[in-house]
Amino acid sequence: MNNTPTVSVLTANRLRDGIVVFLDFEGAWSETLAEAVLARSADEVRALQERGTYDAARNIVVEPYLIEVRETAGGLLPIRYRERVRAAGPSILDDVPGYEQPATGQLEAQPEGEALGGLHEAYQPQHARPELVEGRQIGGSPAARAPERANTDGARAQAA
Amino acid sequence: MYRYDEFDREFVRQRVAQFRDQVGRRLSGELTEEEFKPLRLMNGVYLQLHAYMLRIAIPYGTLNSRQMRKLAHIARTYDRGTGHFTTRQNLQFNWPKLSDIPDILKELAEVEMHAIQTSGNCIRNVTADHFAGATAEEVADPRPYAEIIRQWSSLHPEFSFLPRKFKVAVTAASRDRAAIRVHDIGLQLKHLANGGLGFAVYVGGGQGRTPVIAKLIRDELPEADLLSYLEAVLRIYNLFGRRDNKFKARIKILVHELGATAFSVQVEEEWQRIRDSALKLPEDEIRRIRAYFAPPAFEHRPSKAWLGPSERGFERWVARNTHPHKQSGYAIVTVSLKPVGGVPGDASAEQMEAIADLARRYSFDEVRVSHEQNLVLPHVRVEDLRSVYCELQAAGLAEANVGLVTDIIACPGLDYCALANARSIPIAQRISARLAARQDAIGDLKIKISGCINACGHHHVGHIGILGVEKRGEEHYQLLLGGSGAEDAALATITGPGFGPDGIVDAVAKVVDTYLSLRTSANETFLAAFGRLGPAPFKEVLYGGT
Repeated sequence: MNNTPTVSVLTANRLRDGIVVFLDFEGAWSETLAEAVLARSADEVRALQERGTYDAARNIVVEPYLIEVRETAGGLLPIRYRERVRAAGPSILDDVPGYEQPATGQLEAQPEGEALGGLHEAYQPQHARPELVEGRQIGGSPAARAPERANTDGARAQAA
Repeated sequence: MYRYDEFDREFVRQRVAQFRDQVGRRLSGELTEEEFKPLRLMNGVYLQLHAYMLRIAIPYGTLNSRQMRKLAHIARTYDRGTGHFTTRQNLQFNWPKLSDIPDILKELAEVEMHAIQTSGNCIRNVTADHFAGATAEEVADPRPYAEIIRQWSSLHPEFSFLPRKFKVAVTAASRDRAAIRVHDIGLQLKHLANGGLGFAVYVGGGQGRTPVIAKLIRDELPEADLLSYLEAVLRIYNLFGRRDNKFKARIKILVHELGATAFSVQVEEEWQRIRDSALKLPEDEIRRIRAYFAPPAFEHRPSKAWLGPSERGFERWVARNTHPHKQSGYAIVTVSLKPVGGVPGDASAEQMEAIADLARRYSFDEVRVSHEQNLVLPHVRVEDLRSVYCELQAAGLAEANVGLVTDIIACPGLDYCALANARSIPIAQRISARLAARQDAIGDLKIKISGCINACGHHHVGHIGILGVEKRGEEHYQLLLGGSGAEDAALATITGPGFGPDGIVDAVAKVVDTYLSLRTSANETFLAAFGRLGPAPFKEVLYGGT
């Protein structure tokens, strides 16, 4: 467990565009957590809160609140994971670990009976409905297919 | 599809002007945030984790190419080039500036769109089967009724300040693609015993922190009585729904506390009082609205079509992403917005334009949004499937995975949402990447991920559901199994102790491996196997029998 004491930072969203901001050491609102001014005492915390209320009333920011952060070698680290995401921005993965785009035709073999081999030269959506519903197979012998106009209940029964 | 009349046009134009004035007054300081917040919410504007978010209504998930192009234009001009299609068939922009939103709404109004009632305790965007009007499984197109409900519920003076939000879904097919039984009201269009059209009415379903499967309170409601009956349901809810506790304010709690029978008795009493009022739907009016949804001018095409030379990728796509159409020679195409390892439901401006173009050329100018965060080209000639596939490929939209394990529903989660406790999107990305190579072998399996208890990612009805929570300031994920949002609606059950962000990906892989090892054949789906086996073998592999 990390025993480094935590300190407080004032954050809010900018009124005009909603972007996350932090009160910085020059009294301006910065988009960078690293520039945030730190409150280490009860008096400093109170001063930040008052500044937040004041700037919200002046319509500069919206919903100011304090977050707890820890000072680390890598910079300020919010305690709550939520605040880490909020400070850093969305964590959408650009390059998902372990993923390799399967090359066409190189996919894992289909289980027996689900082979997609053979072409749909006779693609017949209505004929194929029950197969589509159940096993996503297209093809197979015409005799195994549903009648020309498979009724809805028939398809439903197959699905159930 | 429905076109605005003069009333609609003027109503939306006035609303844009109103909101422009309100934004101006907020930016100048004339309105405080406290005063402004309910006004912006009524126009679909949220303040999210990183920025404002604008949620745009797509009534019953139906769009034309002009509207889709406008969304692409807005994404490029006012956002960061991407739109996010949601589980309510809506679209969200995650980065609009407040100062730009009046201009965005003005642009939307030009194509008969708006963001009204996409937030707040009112009747929200009515959703419907995304194959409506195209599938042979339906008794009739349900969208005219969804449109009638939309018109009735828009700015309904009595129902603009309900105890909580209220969601209505409509389907006309026996196969439920609209998840009607997890909505406040679910309507199933059907043939009544007397031969006419009407509805089975389900009430009190929902997800969130108290998931409930809706109860059938009326099996045969004549179509002419649709609005009076809905009004009666809403009125009883508005009168008796709890307002003292936000978490107990949805209609599902009222139905549960009163009991479905007692609730329906109250509704019936109110309904008998108002049944023959002005709410009675004249046949002419139903016919007038239905005319907007008349089937397009289908050509008589042969039922068989040559699809071109054999190619495995195309065959997979046809098998997974097309669905039989009611019209011979046509198919319904689902465009997956779930690239393996990608963000579920996201589409770039360029992709939206590509789909708009395909809709115009190949699908009678129609696009649908599914609640599973995919898009649909509802009316494609079978002989055009190859061309559509090739163009989707060029746009990066040809993932052949509909209904498979990589076709994951995920809410925006902690990456965007101010309410979320944990991320959903990166978890979806990692599960997708982890299982993609085996997805065809795994078969039909729906994974649904929510980043908080509000369940926008439908985790309660996932075959595999994942719920993100916060535990001592860190992300934590509960695993649920065995849910379904379809006609066999069921709530998933929690397996046991949760997992960290890495552990949940491993846990899902273990569940899938266990399923593969225990299924009787490739034809036994995950849900069927879970129904046969119960949770025990899955818990065993997850927790070692503890």
